[in-house]
Amino acid sequence: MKETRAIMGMPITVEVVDEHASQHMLEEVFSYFTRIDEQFSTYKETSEISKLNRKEIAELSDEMHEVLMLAEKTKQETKGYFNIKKLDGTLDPSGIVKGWAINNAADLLMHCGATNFYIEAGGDIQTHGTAADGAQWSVGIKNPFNKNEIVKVIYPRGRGVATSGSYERGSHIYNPHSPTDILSDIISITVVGPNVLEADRFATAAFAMGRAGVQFIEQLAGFEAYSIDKDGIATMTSNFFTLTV
Amino acid sequence: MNKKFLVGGIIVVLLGGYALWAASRSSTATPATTNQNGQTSASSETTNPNAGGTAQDGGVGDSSSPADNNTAQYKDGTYTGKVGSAAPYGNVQVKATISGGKLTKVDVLTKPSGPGYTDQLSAQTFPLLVQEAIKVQGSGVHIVSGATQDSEGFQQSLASALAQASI
Repeated sequence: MKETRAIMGMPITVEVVDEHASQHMLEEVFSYFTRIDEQFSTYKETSEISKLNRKEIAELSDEMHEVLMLAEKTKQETKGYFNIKKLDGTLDPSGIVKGWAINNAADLLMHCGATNFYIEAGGDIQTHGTAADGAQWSVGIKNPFNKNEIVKVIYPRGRGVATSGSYERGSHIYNPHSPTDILSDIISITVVGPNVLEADRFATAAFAMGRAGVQFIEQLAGFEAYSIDKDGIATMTSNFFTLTV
Repeated sequence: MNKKFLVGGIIVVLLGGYALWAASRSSTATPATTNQNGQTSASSETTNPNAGGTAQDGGVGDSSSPADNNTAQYKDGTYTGKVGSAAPYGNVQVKATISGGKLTKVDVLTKPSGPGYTDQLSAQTFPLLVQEAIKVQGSGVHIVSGATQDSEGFQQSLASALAQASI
C-alpha cells in the first residue's frame, strides 16, 4: 500500500508492504505531517513558529520545545554550521523538522503495527524492515545534474538517509560563518545515519561546510556520506562502500 | 568511536575493505591478500630505493590496534600493496607514500573496473576519503534521495506575483 501526498510544500510518500497494511496506517501518517506543518510552517501566519517569531506566545508546546532543543544541540555539535536563526533574527527550524517528523511518523507506523515500510519526504528517507519481495529497501542517490537519474544505489537497512543540496531551489543553505558566500563547490551531500532525524540534521550542517562536510561526517561514529561537487566528482566516507552491497 | 583511522587501518579500508567484503561474499577472493581471519595482509614492499625503509618495519597495512595511532612508526618511502580482490568489480591495488613518518598519499594503481563500478576511484590524503566520478546507474530502486526542498516559498511568491498581475 503506497500513497504520495503534498504536505509541507513537498511530496511525502508512505509505503507499507505488510499483509495487514491498511489505509488507516497511511492516514495516521499523513495526518501527523499535516499537524506538524500547521505548527512549524514559517509560511503559515497562524503556525506556532510564526507566532513565536512575532513574539506573540510565551509558552512553547512540547513539540516546539523539543525541536528548538534539538536545533541547539545540533548547532553545538556542528560548530555552529547548523543554525536555525536566520539573518533577520527569526527562527526557521525547517532544516530539522523534516527529519524529526519523518522519524516520529515512522514510530507512529510501528505503533500501528507496521513493520515493513518506508517514509520519504522531500528526499529524506526512513526505511524499516524489507520491501515487498523480501529484498532490502534500495535507495538511489539522485543525480544533481539530472533529477531523473540516479548515480548511486545504497541499502540503508533501517538507517536514515538525508540529502542536502543546492540544486533544486538555488542556494537555500548558507554558511552561517560567512553568509554571503555562495556554496557552489559541493552540489549535494547524502548522509546516512542511525535514523533519518540524525541523518537530516547532520546533512544540513555538512552541506553548509562545503568540501569539509564529508570529512566532518567521517569523524562521526555511525554516519557515512556521499558528496558530489560541481565537476561531478563524488567524495565518500571511507566506509560508505559498505552501504552499497 | 573516533574514525581517524591509523595508517594501517586506512590501508585496510582501501585495500582490505574490498578484500574483506569480497571474502565474506565470495570464495574466489585473492588468497594472497586475505588470511584465515579474513583480515587483509597488505604487507608492502619498498619501491623507492632511496626510502631507506623496509616493508617489515614499516607496518603499512598492518591492521594493528588503534592505540598505535599516536606514534609515528612508519618509515618514509613508497610502498605498494598486494593486489586485493574487489569482487565482483575486479581487483584493487594501492601505493602508499609515507613522508615524515605519516601516510601522506595513497595512489590507486589498480582499480575495480567491472560493471557497476565507476572508473575514477582514487583517494585523498587526509582523511582517506574515496573519490569517484559519478556515473548514472540503473533506475531499479525503491526510493530516491535528493535535495528536494520544499517549494512553498516559490509557490507563495508566484501566487503573489500572479495576484499583482491579475486584472
